Amino acid sequence: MTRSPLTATLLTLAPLAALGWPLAKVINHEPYQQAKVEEDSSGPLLQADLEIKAAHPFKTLEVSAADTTWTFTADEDIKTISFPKDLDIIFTVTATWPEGTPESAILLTLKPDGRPDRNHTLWGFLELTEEIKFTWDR
Amino acid sequence: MKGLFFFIAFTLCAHGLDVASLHPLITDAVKQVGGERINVVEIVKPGANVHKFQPRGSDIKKMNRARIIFASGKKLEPYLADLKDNLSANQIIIEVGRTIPSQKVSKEDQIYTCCPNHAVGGIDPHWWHNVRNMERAIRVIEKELSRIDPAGKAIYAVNSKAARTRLTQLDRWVKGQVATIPRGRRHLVTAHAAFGYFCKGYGFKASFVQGLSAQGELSSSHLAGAIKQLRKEAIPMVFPEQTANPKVLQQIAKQTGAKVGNPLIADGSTPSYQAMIMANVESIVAGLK
Repeated sequence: MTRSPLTATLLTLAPLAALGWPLAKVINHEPYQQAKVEEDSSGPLLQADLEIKAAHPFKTLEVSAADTTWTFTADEDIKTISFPKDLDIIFTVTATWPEGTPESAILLTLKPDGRPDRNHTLWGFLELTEEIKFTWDR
Repeated sequence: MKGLFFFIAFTLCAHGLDVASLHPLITDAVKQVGGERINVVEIVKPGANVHKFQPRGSDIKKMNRARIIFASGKKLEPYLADLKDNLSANQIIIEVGRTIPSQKVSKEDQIYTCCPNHAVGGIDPHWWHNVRNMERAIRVIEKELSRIDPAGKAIYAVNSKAARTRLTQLDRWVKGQVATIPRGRRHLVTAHAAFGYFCKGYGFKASFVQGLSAQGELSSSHLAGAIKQLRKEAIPMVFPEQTANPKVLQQIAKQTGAKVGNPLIADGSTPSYQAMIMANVESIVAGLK
């Protein structure tokens, strides 16, 4: 029994299509839109990297602004945060250290998109709660 | 059939993420963050003039497998809009310098212009001369690679952290070297306005004597003014750039009694960012100390 050329072609192409469909789904991701920078963004929020450097291993370290809290660990010392595009922001930093740790320092650095870095060093003995304010000129 | 599918899928995974880079220093940064998980197509190679580069058909062809095309940003690549039109829907251009605070080219700051695209009032595109800015760029690269290739997120995070640690050490080294130059002698005189971020970041007064006009040519009145000012300040050394014509600086040096220092690297004529920074700082310190 012989097949028509059309049937033969379709039978050849069918496995290829079956293979190609899942592969196409793997390869063709959704187009990605580049995040806007502060200079040309009209949104209310500004993105920033919030980075901490600790002189000694800490037990807990939390940084809050308004109603948001970011928890840092020894392995996660940098976070991308969003905050209102005001010219100042107030952070509350709370940290504790294990028993036996001497007076210690934490360097907090904020790197907002399109704005200069701001940093502040906080000192504490076994525990620390402090408010810091970063400001920028208009 | 199933085996064939897994073989092809495995081959795709093993091949790694394809990306392209439009700046030699960005290539170095992308390689540091991506490591062996990515394949970088280097479109603009070390030593090429990044200000005059225009992608040709062959360059666009080289980019056709890249999911991400990394550019420096801050208007260094005025061709990006046209390039975007030539890319497919799933390819993206990331301007690595986008999160870095811009410095404007200002006559008052004695920061003039480096080429017709970057005249007074425009944004100085040479953000990489402050090491802290490269730390930010590394984070941008990490975030974008992780977004496109989430399976590699942990690897990119580790590589990014290691790269940023190296940059922190490099930044400290630069500050330590600069500290050996007496404060009154921290005045950097170069031909083109490529070192504004360096001067601001590391506490130098800047004089970029060439290229006041939009055409990048020096007027005789400006030249005379520059010579007068440099004589008054008894500038010991002026620095040419590797890819720029040193004639005007040689003329200025002759008339002011300053020496001509080792050429500085403005736009990445070395494949290593760290090597570029160290070479520049060593030249500046040797000339001004």
